[in-house]
Order: sequence, then C-alpha cells, then structure tokens
Amino acid sequence: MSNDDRKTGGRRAPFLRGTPVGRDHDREPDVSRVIALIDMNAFFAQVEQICNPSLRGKPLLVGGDPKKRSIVAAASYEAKACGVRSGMSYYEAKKLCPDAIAIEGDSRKYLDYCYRIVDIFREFTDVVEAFSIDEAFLDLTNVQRLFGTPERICGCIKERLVEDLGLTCSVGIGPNKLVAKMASNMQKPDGLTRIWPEELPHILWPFPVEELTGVGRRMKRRLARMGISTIGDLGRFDPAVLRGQFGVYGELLHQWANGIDESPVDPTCFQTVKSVGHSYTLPRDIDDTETARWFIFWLSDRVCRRMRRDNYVGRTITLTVRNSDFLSFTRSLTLPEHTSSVHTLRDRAMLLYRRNVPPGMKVRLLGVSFSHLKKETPEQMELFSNERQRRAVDAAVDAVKDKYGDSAITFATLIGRPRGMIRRKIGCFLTSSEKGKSDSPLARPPL
Amino acid sequence: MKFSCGRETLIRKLQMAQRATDSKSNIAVLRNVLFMLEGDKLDLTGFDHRIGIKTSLECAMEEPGEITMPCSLLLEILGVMKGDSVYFQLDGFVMNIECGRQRYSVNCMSAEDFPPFPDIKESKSFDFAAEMLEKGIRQTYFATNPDDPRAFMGGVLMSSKGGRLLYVGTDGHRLAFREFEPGGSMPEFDVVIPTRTLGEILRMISETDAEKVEITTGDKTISFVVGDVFMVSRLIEVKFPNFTKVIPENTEGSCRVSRQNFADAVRGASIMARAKENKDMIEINITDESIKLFASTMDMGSATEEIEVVKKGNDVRVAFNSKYIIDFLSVVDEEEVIIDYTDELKPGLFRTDEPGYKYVLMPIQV
Repeated sequence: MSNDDRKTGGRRAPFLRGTPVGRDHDREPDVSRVIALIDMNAFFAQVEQICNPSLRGKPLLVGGDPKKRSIVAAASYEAKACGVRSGMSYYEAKKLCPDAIAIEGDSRKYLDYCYRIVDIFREFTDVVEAFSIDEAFLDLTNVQRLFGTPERICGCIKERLVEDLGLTCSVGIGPNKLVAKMASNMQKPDGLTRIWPEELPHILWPFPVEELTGVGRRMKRRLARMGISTIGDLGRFDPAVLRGQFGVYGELLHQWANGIDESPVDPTCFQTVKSVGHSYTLPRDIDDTETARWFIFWLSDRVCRRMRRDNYVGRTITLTVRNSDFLSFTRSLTLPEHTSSVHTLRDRAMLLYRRNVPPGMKVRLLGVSFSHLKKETPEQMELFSNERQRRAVDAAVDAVKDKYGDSAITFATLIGRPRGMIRRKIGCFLTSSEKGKSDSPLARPPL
Repeated sequence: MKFSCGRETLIRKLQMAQRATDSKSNIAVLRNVLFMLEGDKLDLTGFDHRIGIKTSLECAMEEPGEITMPCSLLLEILGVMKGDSVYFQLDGFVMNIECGRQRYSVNCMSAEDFPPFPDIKESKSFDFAAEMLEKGIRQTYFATNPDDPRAFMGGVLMSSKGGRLLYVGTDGHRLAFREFEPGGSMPEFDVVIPTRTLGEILRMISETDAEKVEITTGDKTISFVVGDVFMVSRLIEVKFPNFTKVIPENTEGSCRVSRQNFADAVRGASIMARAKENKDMIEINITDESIKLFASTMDMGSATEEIEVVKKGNDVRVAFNSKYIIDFLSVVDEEEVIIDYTDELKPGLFRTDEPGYKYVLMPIQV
C-alpha cells in the first residue's frame, strides 16, 4: 500500500484510484457490492436444439448461411467437444467435427429468447444490464434480504431457466462486473462460481494474462516483453510503470488485475431505442424514381406509424440503398426539430433519394429510418407552420388504422401497385412474371 | 482638447452612450466612445454599426477637439474619483484626467477611426407622442425572439397605413398585436425595428421623461430624437409574414377573469411547472363554474389553482406555456382580461376591453 492509500484510509483506498466511470466519480465506492454475470451456454445452439428436438444431443453449428463462406457463431457442447470454437469458418469446423449439422441462425428467435430470459432476471432484481445477447449482469446487492444469498438467488434463476425455457447457463458471482465475468468462465457449462474479494489473488492471479478482460493479442505481446505473463504478474507490477507505458489504460489494467472495477450495472440499456426503421428487398431491381417513390412512401408510413405508437419523435432521417451489385450506402439528414410526421419523413427520404441515387442505378433494396430519437414530450405548437394540420392528419389516420386495421387508409399514391409488381396481399409483392408462382422465394413478406 | 465638467452628469451620459458600444468587439474603436467638444457642448457618441447613440452635456471648454476613449475603463475611473468636477486635458493620444489629487492617464484612439452614422436616404420625418410609442413597444417587443434564424422574429413590425398605426411582434409561438388610431397626419411606412433598439427607446423615454419623440425613417435606417438624445438604428430588412391569418376571428368560447386573480393563479401553478421537459406548461380547464389551472412535474409534485370566471360557449381543456401568459398579464393595465378559445389545438386569443391590443398564443400539445 502506498502512502496515498494510507492517507485516504486503508480498506477503501484501492477503489478510489482511477475510477473508470467518470460520471459516478463522486459516488461512495461500495466494497460490498454483489454482482452476478449470467452467461447462457452456447446460446444460439441451445435455442435451436429446444426449437427442433431432432437436433438435441447432436453436434450443431449455428452461424451464417452454410452454403456461403460463413463462420460459426455458436457451437453446441457436443461440437465443442471436438474442438470447434466460435469464430471458426464452417470449413474448419467441419474438418474437426465431420458429423456436425450446420444451420443458419435466426436472430429474431434468439432476441425473443433473450427478452424472455431477461424477464426472469427481472423477477429477482430490476438492475439488469444486457452485456450481449447471451450474457447479462445482475446487481444483487440490494435484493439479498428479499431472496437470500446470491448463491441461492442464482440457483433459483438457474432452476427457472431450465424449467421455463429449457436453457442452461453459467453463473459467476463477484464484488464487481469484472470479477463476476471472470467467475462465470470458471465452470462451463452449467456452472455457478462465486469469487470472494479476499480470495481474488489466489484464484485470479495464476491465470495467463490474456484471460483478463481488456487484454488482447497485441497487449499480451507488449506485456510479455515486460515480463508479464500471468494476471498475478500484472497485478503486482508497479502501476506507475504501467501508466508510463500504456497511459491511463495501464492504470486500469493494473486495477483490473487486482480485481478492482467500479463500473455500475447499467439497467438503461433496455430503455433506449436508437432508431426506428424499415427496409425492404424489392421483388426485382428497379431503376425508376416513380417506383422508388412508391416504396419510400410505403416504408415511411410504416416507420412513422411505429414511431407514433411507441411515442417517439426523431430528428435524423436515413435512407439506405443497395444496388444490384450488392453495394450499400446510406445518406442522412438532420431536421431542426424532432418529429414523427410521415409527410416530413417521406419528403426528406425522397429528397435524399433524388440527390444520391444516380439515374439508371439498379436498386435492389430500400430502407428508411429515423434516429436521434426521444420520447415525445408536450410540444409548443408553432403559429407560422402547417405542422398543426399534419399532426391532425396523422392522428386521424392513426385512429382509423387502430379501428379498421393498417390497410384501411393510406396515401393515394399507394393505392394500386408499384409498376411491374403485383400486390398479392398486404405487404407482399410479386413481379409480373412471377404471377401464379405463389411459392416464389422473392415473395417473402417483409419484416 | 481641454475641458472640465461635472462628474455625476458625465457618468450618466457616458452610461447612455455605452449601450451603443460593443464591449466584445475585435475592433478597438467600437469599444470606445467618441468625445467631440465644440463651444460649451460636449457630444458623446457610441456606435457599434447596429445602434448609434449620441448624447451631449454642458461643460467648461478651454480648447476644442475630438478623440475616442475606451468607455468601460473611463467609467471605472470616474467611479473611483471623489470630487464633483473632473478636468480633462488631451496630450497627443493620452488623455490626462484630474479630480482633486487623483490623476489618471488614459491611452486614446484617433476620432478619425470612429465610424460615421449612416445617412438616412428617402427619409420621412414626423413627431410621435412618446406615450403611444412607449405603450406600443412595451406591449409587443417582449414577444420577439432575436435568436431565431427567421429574421422577422428579431424585431417588431411598425406599420402606418390609412390612419392606422400597428405594432406586431412574434416569436413563432405567440404574437402580440397593438393598434392605434393616432389621428392627424402620419406618413405611411412599414419597418421592422430590432428588439434591442426598442429596449433602448423604452429606457430613453423613461430616463428623459420626454413627451415627444421625433422619428426619421428610411429604407434601411431609422433615427429617434428623445429629449437631448439622438439614436440611430439599422432596420431589419425582411418581409414580415401575413400575421392577420394567425389572429383567430371566430372562436367558439370566451371567458372573462380578473387580471390580478388570474395572474396570481398562473404564477402559483407555474411553481410546479419548472421541469425542463414540461416547458413551463400549465393546463387550463375552463368550465361554467371556474377556470382550473393545473401543473405538475414528475419528481416534484403538482398544483391546482381555481378562480372565478364569466364564460360563454363551450368548455375547454388546453395547455399553455405559463411564462407566455404572465408576459401578457404584466403588460396590460385593465382590471379584467378576456380569453377567446376554440379547442386544445387552436390558438387562444388573450385581450382586454381595450380593442387595440391582441395577444395570440399557440397551445402546447400534450
């Protein structure tokens, strides 16, 4: 312990130094936090095995389209036993495990499971931060009196996950996010590990330094040159030298190696919607502005309807275009005021289209989105603007759609069909040549 | 240049001229005040290219001359001097200032660098009753917004046509409209005067107790003579939008309340409307029995105020920015105010029994 530490008072001192979270710097460091990380084991593969019993117990690879050059996003434990790791190409994986079944992942399915899992977590604590689609941090500090020890709570959660969803997970419990994450990696699959603050050096330090969050391949090489190979080496190293070598990050690494991490569990990650948008792969490539206009109006209407239903207003409008060579680009503009008016969105999106899509370009996909969102607050209305009439129109259109369905009212432009395409039913198009071939893959309904 | 003059008078006159200097300007001479001495009259001029103010005072001249001096520095020096009379003596570009046993030297700049006032071309001159000017400005200029990129919101439209004199100010959320019938012969004109200029006129009228203001107006520039102060200002060269279409004519309901009671109630309720996301919003619920005002802020609490009302027409529940209502209530002098309304999305018309003043206010959509 250095002199500085003694001045600020023994036990807490290490937590005061270089707290990584700027906005919380005046918060009293809490040494007695209890944080859990719950990591769903081979999440995508588990979900696929639940949904399709014939895959259970078999080596399974989930990733991109297996017919293309894709990589493995998740492998079932049966496949992992053969040495398959996430991030390998299918080709490599098949070499290691020839029997493995490769399937294309379905992100909506996983997201749906993710929300169901988080709902279970929320029954135990409201401070839940989704770290990724298959991992979440839970702050259990203040719920121990309600539900008992952290081990008991996590045991209950594990039971619930198996009973309700049929999923297994690995749980790590520690005094902060960093240690919880390390603990969750100790026992996989289906583990539950708690690391106590006092046993940190004992457990953490023997591991090679690259096991520490924040140490990648290059950092490992640089540390090795300094004679640091284990987490313990790093934790015992002089922080001043680390700072000289790596700047502020060096000091953070030193803290992490000592199991110090003050970052809070941030439950707001669920509350922020960053953008609302729709895109659509056209039934055939188009090159005329009129047809593009049809689809931009149609997409804009859907975007704004969703925005108003969820009470959002946005400021930045983005148009996504993909041409027949699969080259995509996006162009955006920012409005002076937040709005959810469909008139504004479709007119500005059309403006972006006219400015940025050269005549004759074959367009394959169009997308329209609103970002820089905020929840709609009471809005002072303007005297010299027709926003008032537009809002009234939007409100009336919403009322009609709520009562009679989304197809009951629309722009006059959208009555009928875009040129050369036949509207089979709501939200579904065929090109003229595909009429009658109802199972055409091109006629897939949009998202 | 040599003269002596009364310290207090000089301070007062300098402060007047200072309001037309630009203390933040990169051009040093615009931070200065021009001293011109001829006969027993000392002229002080400030001019920042947008507003110019010229005022004068009596002094005992020994030698005429002209020079510019940094205004705020000079005021600071005069502030620490103790005697009644101050003696100025210019030596090259250094002004020596003496008062009793206090002696200060101030570096000055040549009067030649000081920008001249703009000429007023194709001008019309006329006299104006100060009261009519003061009231017209006071009741409209607060409703403008000089920070808005739309230029017409940066000033008040002053328009004389067919024996009617109009003042109109707006910031896009509200519009204040004042009409006079001045009688006599007033030339026709149509100008947008910057809000800052109007504020200065109000101060001058109140400081000089003038009864008459002489106005000369051209296309780009306007000048005012208030008492012994001369002021010149650039006009905002913009076409004012058609404001008549935003003044509601046939409203579906109308109510009459005591101004004092209404003002107290709005001020009270607005205590609970201070959150940023609420935009000082208060909800007004007008029924046959009463006006109820309601305001709430999520983490603070809520307020309800209820006052008596005389009402015609339908009930309404509408939200307004309380600051805008208070602005209106503080510039009218009548005992009762009238609120005309249609629904929660249409503008409300605030007025009094005096037919010349109308205040249009857009609601807040909840």
